[in-house]
Amino acid sequence: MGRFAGWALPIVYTSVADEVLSVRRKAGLFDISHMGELLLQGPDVQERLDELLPSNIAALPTGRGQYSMLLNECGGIMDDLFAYRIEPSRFLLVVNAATTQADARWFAEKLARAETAIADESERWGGLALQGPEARGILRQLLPELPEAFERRAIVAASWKGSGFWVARTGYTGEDGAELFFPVSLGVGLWDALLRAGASSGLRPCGLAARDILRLEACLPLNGHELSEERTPLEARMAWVVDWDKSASFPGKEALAEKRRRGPDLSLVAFAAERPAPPPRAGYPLLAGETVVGKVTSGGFSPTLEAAIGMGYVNAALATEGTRLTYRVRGTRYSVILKPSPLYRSKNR
Amino acid sequence: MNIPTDRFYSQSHEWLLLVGGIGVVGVTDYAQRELSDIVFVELPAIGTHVRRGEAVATIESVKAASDIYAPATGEVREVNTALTQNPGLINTDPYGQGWLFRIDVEDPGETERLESPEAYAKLTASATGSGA
Repeated sequence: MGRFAGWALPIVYTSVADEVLSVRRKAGLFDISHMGELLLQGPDVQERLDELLPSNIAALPTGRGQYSMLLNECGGIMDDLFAYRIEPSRFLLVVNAATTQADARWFAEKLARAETAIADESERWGGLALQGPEARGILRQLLPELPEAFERRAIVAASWKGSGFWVARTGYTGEDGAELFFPVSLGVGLWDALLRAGASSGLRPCGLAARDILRLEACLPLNGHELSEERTPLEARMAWVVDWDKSASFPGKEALAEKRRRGPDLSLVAFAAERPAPPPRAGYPLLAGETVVGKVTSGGFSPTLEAAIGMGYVNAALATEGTRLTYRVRGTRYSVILKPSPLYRSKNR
Repeated sequence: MNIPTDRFYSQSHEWLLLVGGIGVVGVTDYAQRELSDIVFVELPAIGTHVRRGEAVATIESVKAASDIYAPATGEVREVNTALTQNPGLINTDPYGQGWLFRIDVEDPGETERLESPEAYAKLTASATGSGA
């Protein structure tokens, strides 16, 4: 167990490598109850969210989710989130644990004069992520009423033992799968029932250390590592989050447009070591020759790719595939090559 | 917890197995469990003279980098090169295929400064409570 943002979290059950590979090959079940759940509801909720998020919320149909970010006025990333439209005038925002309270306060301030109310359900809701090529089959055993057309980023209402909850076809591993958000009273029961339903398909409980490696292999950014207020979606190579054409203005829009004209100085890259190497840990400088040209934001050993991998920000001029950089550990230099992102792409999606 | 009775143990969780005058060195089952997934090992150069208690190798796990201390004084004669490609051998077989290096032990009397299997069992049992 580990502690994070006031939560006790399961870090590893058996072995990180075994857990990672079980998600890639079969399925894994994660407790993600630390994630924050904010509910926004009101007749003007779509318009208000369009003024607060860089994404086009008007275009998001009911029953669908969209990855988005909270930006400050400089375009810096305060948080990343999934916004689900669960009813025409009701949205579920799934945000990071460490930023939940700040996000809730920020929305409450911005919505002070709006007809939209915000409720932080994080203490009352739990979350599970069922991920891997076998995930949907396992889920359907438990919830046979799931619609046939349960598309990616769809969210549907489900019910178990008389209590309602939400199931979304999303995840943070680079594999197909689902995330479940439910009243905490259902948590233990759902966990046990899913593990039983998946036993014959190779489902196993997985900790958050495996989840961190899985998301790193899939080059999914982590708040506090790749994403921070010092970085914008442009440096993070996630400009697709921003809808430049929508009419609504949103925090950071002008700053981002200006930065887009000039081009960012730094760029987020993914890399892999050429030979056995120690994990390139967050904060390690990245060097071209003797010059520091960037910094690692996340790194570790990938059991799937059987190599030390990482992500980091480097000078934009060097951020091209095939560039060789090095990092130093205990006086020894290790060489990495910049690779296309994602480092791992599932064939099962 | 597996603690073979044919070798000596250090309080920092290395083992030393004497075969003739050569000492084989590794880390214990307790250590590999505490470290969890081992992903990289840095071993001393052959011919290096190491002193008992000196940090001579590094094991990197998913969590962190940990120093490995020489349990005896002597010259490094051989290192386990299989660990370069497969450091997980330390997790799966800490007392066998997961050995780290062999040293020419200068003074076999140094083993008196190490723990017996029984004493090491007590040491790790009190560190974990249940021994799990």
